[in-house]
Amino acid sequence: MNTPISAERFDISDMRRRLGANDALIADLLRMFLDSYRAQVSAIKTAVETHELDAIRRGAHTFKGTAANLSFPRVMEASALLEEAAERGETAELDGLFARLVREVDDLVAEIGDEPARRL
Amino acid sequence: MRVLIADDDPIAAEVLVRTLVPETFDVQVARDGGEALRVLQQPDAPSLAILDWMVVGDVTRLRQVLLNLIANAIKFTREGSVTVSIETEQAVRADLVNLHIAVKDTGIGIPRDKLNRLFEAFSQVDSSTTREFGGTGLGLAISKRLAEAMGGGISVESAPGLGSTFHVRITVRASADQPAREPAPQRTATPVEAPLRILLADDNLINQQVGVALLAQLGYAADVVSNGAEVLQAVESRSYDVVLLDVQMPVMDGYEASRRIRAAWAAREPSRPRLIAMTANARTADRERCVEAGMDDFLAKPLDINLLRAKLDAKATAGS
Repeated sequence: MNTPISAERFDISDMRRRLGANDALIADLLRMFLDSYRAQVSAIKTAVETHELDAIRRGAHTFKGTAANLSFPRVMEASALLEEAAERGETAELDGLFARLVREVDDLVAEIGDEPARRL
Repeated sequence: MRVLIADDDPIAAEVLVRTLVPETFDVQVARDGGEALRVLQQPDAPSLAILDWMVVGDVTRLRQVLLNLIANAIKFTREGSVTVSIETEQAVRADLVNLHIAVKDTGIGIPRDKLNRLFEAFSQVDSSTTREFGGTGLGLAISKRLAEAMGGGISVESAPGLGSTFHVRITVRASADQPAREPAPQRTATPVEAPLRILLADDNLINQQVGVALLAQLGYAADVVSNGAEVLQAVESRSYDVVLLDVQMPVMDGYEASRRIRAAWAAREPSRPRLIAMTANARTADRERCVEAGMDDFLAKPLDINLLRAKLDAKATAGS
């Protein structure tokens, strides 16, 4: 048996409330996230490595929106911190905040697993 | 590419023409760079007025299903044609008519082993298909749900290299001697009393999918664009009741798009689409910024189906 996913990583009840208790849709969206997150994270990584503040801000903003829509509180927070640091031009913090975002995403993906429908 | 609507049956032609022309189809075909829609045979015989017997929400659903199927057919057909045909036949009961609509293309076709997953959300035949043709496969999943919501279904037959034919079968009420409107039958699905024409603008793909899926659950079809400049194009080429606008988008943000719509509609305010901001920032200053830009209302992001329903119900009531 899988242990339940912590609501801090994936708040299933919040998502069910917002999306009208439609688990088929939720599973579809999770699968779509699993198919697409690597490309998004890799775009942010490139921007961090090349110190393109505007690209970091935009990438982190988009990822924050995705995380909010999918009820991923910790990934959302990590994205928001990176977005804000880029906005304020705090270049010294970017590497650390990006590493934190990557950790949060890895932990989340590990918890969801390859078959999202089975975790609902 | 030429898109044909072929039919000798005046009732059927009327359903297609009134469902698809001009509001849905011209826009879609023009967007894909094809020729304008041609109707082979205009209806000239007295009609059974099938659409008058369909629940208002069903017309919206049928239109969305056909739009999805036709857009899909156009997308996957580089050469050849897309033909839409329709047959009607008497159902078991005298007041019911079975509609069978077929969307046939001469496109790339679908491998046999992929057919059974085709109507699952976000399935694509393979990732190279996604790269070459774009899209997420959501259209077919939504079409299937909408057809089922109308008490019908969708099926497909296809052969790689030869093309695909999608079949939609639904049953509608019809009466030759009573063309006048009757009270709509009770429905279990969410009734849409006044179907709103909705445009959704968001640059985030997952947010778009969530928005479209929530609207579909509420019985609404929506067109989707990715930035403010595309919003301006869309509202000029087609009339909308509601525009749901993400405030932060590339190229042109939601604030600027709202200001321009307000300015462009200054002399025709009653026909202006209602502008609903979608914003993650609920602070008063952000709301004031939306008001200053001319937006009519706000929706908090991430979207919530109940809040969305409440806002749209208010618009539907206000607009009727």
